[in-house]
Amino acid sequence: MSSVMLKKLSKFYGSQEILKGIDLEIKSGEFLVLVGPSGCGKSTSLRLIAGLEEVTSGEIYINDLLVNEIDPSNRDIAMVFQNYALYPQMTVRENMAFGLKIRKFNQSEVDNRVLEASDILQIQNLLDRKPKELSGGQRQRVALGRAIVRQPKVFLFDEPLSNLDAKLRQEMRIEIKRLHDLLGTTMIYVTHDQVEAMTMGDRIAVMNQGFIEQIDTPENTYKKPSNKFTSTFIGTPQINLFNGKIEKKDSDLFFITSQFSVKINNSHYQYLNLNESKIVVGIRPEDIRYVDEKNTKNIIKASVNFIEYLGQDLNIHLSMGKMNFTMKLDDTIFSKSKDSIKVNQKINININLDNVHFFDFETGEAV
Amino acid sequence: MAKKIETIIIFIFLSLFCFATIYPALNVVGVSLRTDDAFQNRSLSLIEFEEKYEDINGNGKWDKGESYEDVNNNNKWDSGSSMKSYLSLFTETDFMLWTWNSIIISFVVTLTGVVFASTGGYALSRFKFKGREFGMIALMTTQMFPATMLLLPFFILLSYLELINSYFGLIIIYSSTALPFCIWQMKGYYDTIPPSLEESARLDGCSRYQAFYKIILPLSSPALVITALFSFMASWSEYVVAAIILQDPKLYTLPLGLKSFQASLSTQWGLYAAGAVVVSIPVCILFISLSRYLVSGLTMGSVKE
Repeated sequence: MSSVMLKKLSKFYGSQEILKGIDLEIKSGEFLVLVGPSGCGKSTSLRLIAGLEEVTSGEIYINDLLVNEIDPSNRDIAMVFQNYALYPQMTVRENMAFGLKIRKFNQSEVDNRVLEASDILQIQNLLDRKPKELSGGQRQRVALGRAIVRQPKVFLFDEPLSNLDAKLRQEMRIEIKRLHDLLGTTMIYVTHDQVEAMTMGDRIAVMNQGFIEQIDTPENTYKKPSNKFTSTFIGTPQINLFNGKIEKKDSDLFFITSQFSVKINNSHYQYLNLNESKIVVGIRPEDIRYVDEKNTKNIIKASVNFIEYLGQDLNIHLSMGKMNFTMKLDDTIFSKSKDSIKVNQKINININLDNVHFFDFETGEAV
Repeated sequence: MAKKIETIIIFIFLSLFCFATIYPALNVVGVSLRTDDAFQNRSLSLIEFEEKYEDINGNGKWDKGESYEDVNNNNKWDSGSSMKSYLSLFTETDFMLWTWNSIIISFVVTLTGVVFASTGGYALSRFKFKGREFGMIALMTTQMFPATMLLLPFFILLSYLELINSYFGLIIIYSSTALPFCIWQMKGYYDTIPPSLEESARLDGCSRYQAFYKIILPLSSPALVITALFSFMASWSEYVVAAIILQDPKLYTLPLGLKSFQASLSTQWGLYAAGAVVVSIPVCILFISLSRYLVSGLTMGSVKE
């Protein structure tokens, strides 16, 4: 097990700065996920750790050893690629044994490790096949097996599940997490899929335009996003952002927009940092609640624009004036109120301000 | 019914086309089996039989004065098809020497082509370096000039290097004319191989060189076959450049040697045809044995997988 540290890591491609001096520490045995939109620098970070790209400036440490000048073959790292990168001319067995043979392991050790890895991944019956005879999921298991036999210090995953269908992705997510629990090796996982990030990582690092926006546990990243970007990137459907202002009335603080005004509870985690100013409030779709017509307390009226049926839940797209936002609704509630919740109809909602997030109007940082 | 008629018409057309294509080659085989002046023979038959004659003196062969059936109407007795020309080719000419010269030159040109094209194409495909774009354009530009345009500059160049009338001079020219196409072709093939394969190999413990020859080179066998075939063909059957560079008959390659059967007053057609048949046998064998690589090599990269 090994720790990985990135210190002020920068990478330029020509004049374009891809990584802007990032600092990141991955503890030994940790499963860290780098998540962000395309072009944010997550794959570049991974490739720099692997040694497949040259560092422009900054330092990379693996187990306190500076590895900037060390060849990829000597960093004791295994990587699982998005397109599997299996050697087409070799069988599964030969693919898995290749790295060990290059390092001059004796044949019995090679055989033992290949069999052990194939048992873990349940691919014993595939050992004599060539990659072209395998399905996508099988190829991904072989790619995992090829990494496992090496018993490296660090595993790197570069969007390994992108090419799989939704069902297989879910299965492989569980498989990879199971492997991490079994092997305990440090794993760095790159993905643009926030569901993968949230379900797999011990911690997730949200990246954007070459910076790390937030590094925290999935729960904290979701419940206490450090800025607007993180709040909008993590969470499905996307968080609703409302521009408004905070005003004090008597001793209470109110969040006021052009369409509604809501009192802020003094138990809110950001309450002490709030003062009268322009503000941006992020409200998760599940914190907007449908209120039936009998209940008239603290209601806001909104128009239904569109309804997305997802089975257990529905995404109701609403508007108030020029504000467009989304509400998540349980199907049980929807079934009871189907006649009331229709496109172009007005419905009553209220907002649970206990779970909202306040962001600075200028900087977008969490208050 | 209409489909059947269409199929029959297509079949007839293709058969005629095949026959028109193959017949000249078969005619050369037929000429190689006849006596020299049988080239002027108007007969369409490929194999001819000995004309019947009256063996007056009983010596088992036709002698002048003995009567015969002039089936070919050429006012002379024809002995019919035989392997005489082939026998003469191997025993009475320097054919084996020319073959040896051609083998050496073609082998070296092929080896040079494969080695430099595989490595040069890889460098152009995988590495970014100063002069890369210019180099690729330069390679393309050289293809625009026909070989005959370059004969004089080649000759002057080799004269300065004192390589006229030498294997090495000819090898240099053949290699330099074949390499640009081969490099481009290999570069194009390497572009279809994902770089992640080499990256995976490097992480597995390979050096860059090991990743190239253990992973990439075996994968590029169809393209290497095309390169080898192209280089081989460029030298095996090339005549014009060889005629300019080589003056010593001991260094003649096969095309030059065969040309020597043609004199100003007469041509030894039987020997010429026999030589042409023998020279084309290695090429036919190569093409047939490597045909599956040819098909995959020619269509490689056409469809994204």
